[in-house]
Amino acid sequence: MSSLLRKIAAGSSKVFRRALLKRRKTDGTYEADWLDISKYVLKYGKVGSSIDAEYVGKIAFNAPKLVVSNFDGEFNDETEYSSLWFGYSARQRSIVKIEAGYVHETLSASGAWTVTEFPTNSSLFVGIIGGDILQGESDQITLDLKPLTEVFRQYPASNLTGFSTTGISASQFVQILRDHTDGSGNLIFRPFFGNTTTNFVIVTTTTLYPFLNTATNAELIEKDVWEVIEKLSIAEQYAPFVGGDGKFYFVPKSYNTTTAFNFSGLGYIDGTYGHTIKKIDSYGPRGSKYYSRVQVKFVDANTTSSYVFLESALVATGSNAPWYYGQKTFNLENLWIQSSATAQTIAQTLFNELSAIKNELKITTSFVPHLTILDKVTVDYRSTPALPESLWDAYNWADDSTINPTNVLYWDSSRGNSIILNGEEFDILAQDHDIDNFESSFHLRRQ
Amino acid sequence: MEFLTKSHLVTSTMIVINSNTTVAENIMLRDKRQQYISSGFNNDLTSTTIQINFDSTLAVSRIALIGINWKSFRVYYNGATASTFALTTTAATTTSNWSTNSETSMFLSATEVNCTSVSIDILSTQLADSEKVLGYLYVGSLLNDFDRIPSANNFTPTIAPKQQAHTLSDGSTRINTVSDKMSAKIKLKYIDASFRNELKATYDLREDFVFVAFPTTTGWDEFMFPCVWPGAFDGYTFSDNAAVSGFNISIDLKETLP
Repeated sequence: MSSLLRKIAAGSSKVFRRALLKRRKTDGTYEADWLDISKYVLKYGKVGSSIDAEYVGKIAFNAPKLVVSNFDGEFNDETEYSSLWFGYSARQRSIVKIEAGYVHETLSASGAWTVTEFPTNSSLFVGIIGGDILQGESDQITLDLKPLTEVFRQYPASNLTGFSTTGISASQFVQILRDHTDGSGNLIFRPFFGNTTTNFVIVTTTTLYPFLNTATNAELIEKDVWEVIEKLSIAEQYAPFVGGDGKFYFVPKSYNTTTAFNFSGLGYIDGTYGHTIKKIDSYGPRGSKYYSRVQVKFVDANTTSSYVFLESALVATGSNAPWYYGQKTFNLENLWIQSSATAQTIAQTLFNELSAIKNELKITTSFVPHLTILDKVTVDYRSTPALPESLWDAYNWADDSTINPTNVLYWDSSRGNSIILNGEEFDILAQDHDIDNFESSFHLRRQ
Repeated sequence: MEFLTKSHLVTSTMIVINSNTTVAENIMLRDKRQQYISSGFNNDLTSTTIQINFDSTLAVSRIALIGINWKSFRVYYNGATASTFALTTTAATTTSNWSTNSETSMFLSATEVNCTSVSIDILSTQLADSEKVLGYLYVGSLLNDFDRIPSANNFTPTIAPKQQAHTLSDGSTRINTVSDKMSAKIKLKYIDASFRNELKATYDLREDFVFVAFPTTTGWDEFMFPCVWPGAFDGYTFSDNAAVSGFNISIDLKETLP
């Protein structure tokens, strides 16, 4: 019986990758079925996403540039007979899905092949064609794919409807954009997300935002929908992102609580998850993400009551973090935070995270397609058998008449770059999948 | 050793089949693991038919069946079961009609007929009462029949995988395989101008075609693939100083999608 984990752990596995297309029909709706365009693809590129990876609050998506063969003009303008879009609407904002994973094939006695793909949902990226589609003389075209969040960027928040005079909550805001229409009953955003409400995963919030009372509120008038979502997410400590499965998630950062995978490498044998780490790109405490002080501004006026501060006291001792990392302030200004108490909660959450020195780990692995940001993982890696505890050799020639492992001959083979990780728990801040080379990379932060 | 026309089966809409139509197009792909399998026909008393309809009348003299589990079946044209193909190579039958087949692949060379459809009635399976399967179907005709085969040194058939190898942190290697692709390098010496010109005609088509190395109805090695012929045509190179000695040619074939 095969499984995804067995395929990941196996020394040799068969893999697959597909690029699929949904064109917009002339009536403005999307075709029902995916068109497989894999045979035209020359280069897939990388797909990925990150949250808080470079700095706190930053959510980014790595969308691939799909290089396709255009020998017979399949990717030309929709007015050309040879184009895949002939008879359809413009190429821009066509939906593209990239799937990749492992394949298990077995031949039965009757001659029938059973072909099973892993993971069950092998979608790694769903996005739209954006940017210019330019032709050269190489018979190749590069499709500049954008993450689905782009459809939120391309719509002004002031065009939304469904606000309440008393304001609405963040989750209600996501609901109104989920259900938003052009005024004639045609949904604006939902068609990009499988045209179903179930592809909007929304965890309910309760705080009402008075700014969200009318579409013409000054706080909305110059913002696009994504900017509003980002503001709300910071205020709620939520993560808004499009999963590889094409669903839109508006969930707390603590959404995933179970350990999804164990990465293992040198010096550890893992019979379940296999040896997946190719190399450790970097490991260590991220002092650059350390802040001894958090300042949250939630009211526009420059008065003391507009701010909430939390800080670690600086004491000039050898064990005081502000003393050896410096007193650094993390500033967050979000006028959508509704009360001092809420600001205090946010500041406390940020302070707990930022004032602790945590190790971060960047690894390159073999293809591990099913993980996503916010997932929790563990790591086992033991680059040397002994801890590098002393410059002067921890284990010396000694009396062997007594059984004492610290007192017998033991040659310390540890090196300066020894990394010892014993099932340590990390959160995934960022991930990238190189679809051309079936290689993954992860940026992890200690829990 | 033969060059064949591109398969007449080029779109899934040409296929008429009794069941499981969504996987019917798999028979166009050389990878026999992506197969057509019937649904609800796992009974030797219930036959199923695969029919390929052409847009126009086409010549058919070569049919390849790869990845089959059929015991009793017949292949015929124009929808008339009596219109079986007359096989020109040694086979268990002289017409394309089998009652106790045990082969899982076979290449049929037949007297050429012009027809508008080719049908296959599958009556029973080698393991009784199984669903009927077909991995790859080729229907077409001959372009070039090599009047002699190259020497062993001058024929290099290859099945090359598209792979990524990962060197893991402990030095071990993991391999991911995307697909296997066939290729062949053929060198011929002392060929006459007539055969050289036949090959040139195929080269000049500037279209993909099909290569089959050693076609046979029994014990076939299945080395056959839709291919392209990239690079130069060097068949005008004299084999020796005397022009009557003929010409040398190098052919490098790469697998393409059907």
